Amino acid sequence: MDKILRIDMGAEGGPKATVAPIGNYAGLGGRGLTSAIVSKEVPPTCHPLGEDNKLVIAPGMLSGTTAAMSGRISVGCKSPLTGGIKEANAGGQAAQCLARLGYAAIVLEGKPKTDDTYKVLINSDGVQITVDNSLKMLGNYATIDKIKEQYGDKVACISIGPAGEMKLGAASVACTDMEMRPTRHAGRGGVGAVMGAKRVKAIVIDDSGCKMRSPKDPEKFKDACKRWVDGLKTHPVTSQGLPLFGTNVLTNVINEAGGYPTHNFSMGRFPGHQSISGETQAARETERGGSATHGCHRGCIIQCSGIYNDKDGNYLTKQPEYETVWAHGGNCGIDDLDVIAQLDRLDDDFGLDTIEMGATIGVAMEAGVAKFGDGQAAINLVKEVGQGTPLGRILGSGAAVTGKVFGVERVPVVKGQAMPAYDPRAVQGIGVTYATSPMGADHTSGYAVAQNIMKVGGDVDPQSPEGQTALSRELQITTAAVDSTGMCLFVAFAAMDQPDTFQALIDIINSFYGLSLTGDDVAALGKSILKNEREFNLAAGFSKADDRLPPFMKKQALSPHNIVFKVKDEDLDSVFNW
Amino acid sequence: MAGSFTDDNGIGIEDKAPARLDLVWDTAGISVFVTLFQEGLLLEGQSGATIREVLCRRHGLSDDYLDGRVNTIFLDGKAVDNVDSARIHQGCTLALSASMPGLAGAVLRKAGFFSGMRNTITHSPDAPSAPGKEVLFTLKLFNMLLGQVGPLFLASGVIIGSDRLTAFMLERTEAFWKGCRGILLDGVQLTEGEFVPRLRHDQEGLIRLRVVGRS
Ligand code: SF4
Repeated sequence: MDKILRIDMGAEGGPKATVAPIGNYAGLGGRGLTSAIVSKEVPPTCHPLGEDNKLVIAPGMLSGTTAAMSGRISVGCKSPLTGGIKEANAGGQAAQCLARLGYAAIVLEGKPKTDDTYKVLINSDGVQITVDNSLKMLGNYATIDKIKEQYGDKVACISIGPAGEMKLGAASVACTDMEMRPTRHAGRGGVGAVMGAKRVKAIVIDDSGCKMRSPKDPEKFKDACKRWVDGLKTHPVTSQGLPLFGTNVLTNVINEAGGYPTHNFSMGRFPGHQSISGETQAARETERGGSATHGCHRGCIIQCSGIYNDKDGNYLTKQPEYETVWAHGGNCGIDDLDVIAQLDRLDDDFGLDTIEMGATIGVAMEAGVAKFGDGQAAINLVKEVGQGTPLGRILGSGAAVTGKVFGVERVPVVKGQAMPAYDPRAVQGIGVTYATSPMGADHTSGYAVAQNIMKVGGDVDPQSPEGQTALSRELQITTAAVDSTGMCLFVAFAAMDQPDTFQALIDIINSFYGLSLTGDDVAALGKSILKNEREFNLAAGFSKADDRLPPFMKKQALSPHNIVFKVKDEDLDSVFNW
Repeated sequence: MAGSFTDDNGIGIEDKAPARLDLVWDTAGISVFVTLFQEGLLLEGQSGATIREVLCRRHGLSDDYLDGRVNTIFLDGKAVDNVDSARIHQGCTLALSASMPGLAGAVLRKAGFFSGMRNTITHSPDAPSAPGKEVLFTLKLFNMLLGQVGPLFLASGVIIGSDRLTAFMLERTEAFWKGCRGILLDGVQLTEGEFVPRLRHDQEGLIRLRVVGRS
């Protein structure tokens, strides 16, 4: 991973690829690299869909190695949804394949001069960029079928659906999974629209003939990897909860806490929760011959995913995650897992962020476009997005735009991006992170790892009033750092409860790169990433006023606890004082 | 037992003693019965008893299990940090879960480092009180706990509305019914064919239900 592939889509005579050494970006991966490139090379005030924006796709620092769980890929750019910097990440096979081919990043630049649709092939022979207009406006599934016909089913593919081609704010970038299905999405922030603006429909990555990346100190690396796997296999969350029930295991628990946003954030509990819980979902998947325990990429040992079959036992979609089940389920009053699975399939096919779409349909339902609980209406609305009807294009532009168009006051967004599945009025500390994250409302700023090693928040009493902001600061810093490694979010619990497991992760990085990083260095990396991101947003025109939750959160009490969001603005402004 | 309980939420055993239903089912069937705990089943306890007292002393859960595996607890929707200072009362809902993933999991967990992030929904310790009258409370179990301790509570006995049990039994598949090993309603042995019509006959009452497994 010592080179960067740049493709200038606007070059004279057609797109031009150049491969250059990684240079000053050496030592960075994943979010660290995407945010460094975007903040250094993209003018903050540029139009997100214009020639000056860049789409950066970067595997994590440990992707392509034998370290378990290291297959996350980061996609960064200036976001068309938030107007600020964005990193969205995904699982699937792409990170591993790209890293084994030696690429630290792919950077799509410029703007094509024609309406042609492009396909990029990257293999050990180099890079080929071809026009393939037969892919134009195809769904991700049909696109992958065509790619398979041409390149076989051993390659990985990064693609966009019609939503990306229409440059909609909710458009995602899809990565294929182990079965070469386009089910893993870098969903947030409209990154798919930027890929659409570059007119790149698919990037095929063929790593045949490539070896695993080799560590600087193989013995130490092997030992650290073993301790890492042992730690993940010991902890009840990573060895039992996630494999058995997936992330949707959270539905019952968040609902019980009264923090499950229901009917467009108007209530904190959903009466139909048990019909769509992870427990119910896992039982159904098993009963229909699917699977409740499945990995999204080779090397995943937690396997939080699954296969969801339809009533006749045929594959419908991958196991919808908690966020998806909530967004399309409780948030829209829908308590039917089959409907939710169909919506997940449509989102994956059209290339849409499930959180943004579920939140948007919730807003549309509040506006009276459809009734809460009407599953067929929700399916029809998502189909409108895929078809690109005027209503579909409004919905596909996200919750903020839809709220404006329909005159809805209760629009659950921060920096224009829809909130995920935890109501900040119930869990106020999460609200601090939603408000202040440079990414907009984001649930993945939550790598809670071993406190005695990190201590990045200082020695503040976590129970004190300042504790809320100190904990959020700590979580955001740690998250930014771990997002750079390519490790999946779900390693966090084992790394939090078991200091040895977190140490094993640091040892993996050190032995691979021949470094001697400590917890302090990891914290410094996290801080520098956040600093880059904050500075970009500032230069793009963001201010304190953007680090706020929507006003209804302070005015409308959430049942059953009847509470509003109480964290003071001054406290929100102190999150980044370190 | 008649007249022993009243319930703030209208759930309770008032004038009529509940029917007593003993079921014997295969292990696969038990794993289906435990899903009833997602919505909750009624259990008896003494008003003012701590969570530990009611679960461990009264209903036979081990202290080790409660301390080591039950890591996310809600009493009336409030996150509990101390099982020795949160006390049950008439009509309350006690929900138990294993450790949960993600930031929300870290924040909601019992006495976790990040518990300060949910201080507006944290359960405040209840003042100690003398043991009170017998009450009914709703016990909810989630995730791993369904399979791990659901069978224990089913075997020691729970209370369920007849209408809810009827609806549950009517939804079951043929494979589930094949696992039936015995049905005893108020001491009378019933066949599978007789069982549901009898349940449907009395839709208003409560049932004291015990389910035990036999392969
Ligand atoms: S734990 Fe889940 S999200 Fe993470 S790598 Fe495995 S399957 Fe993918």
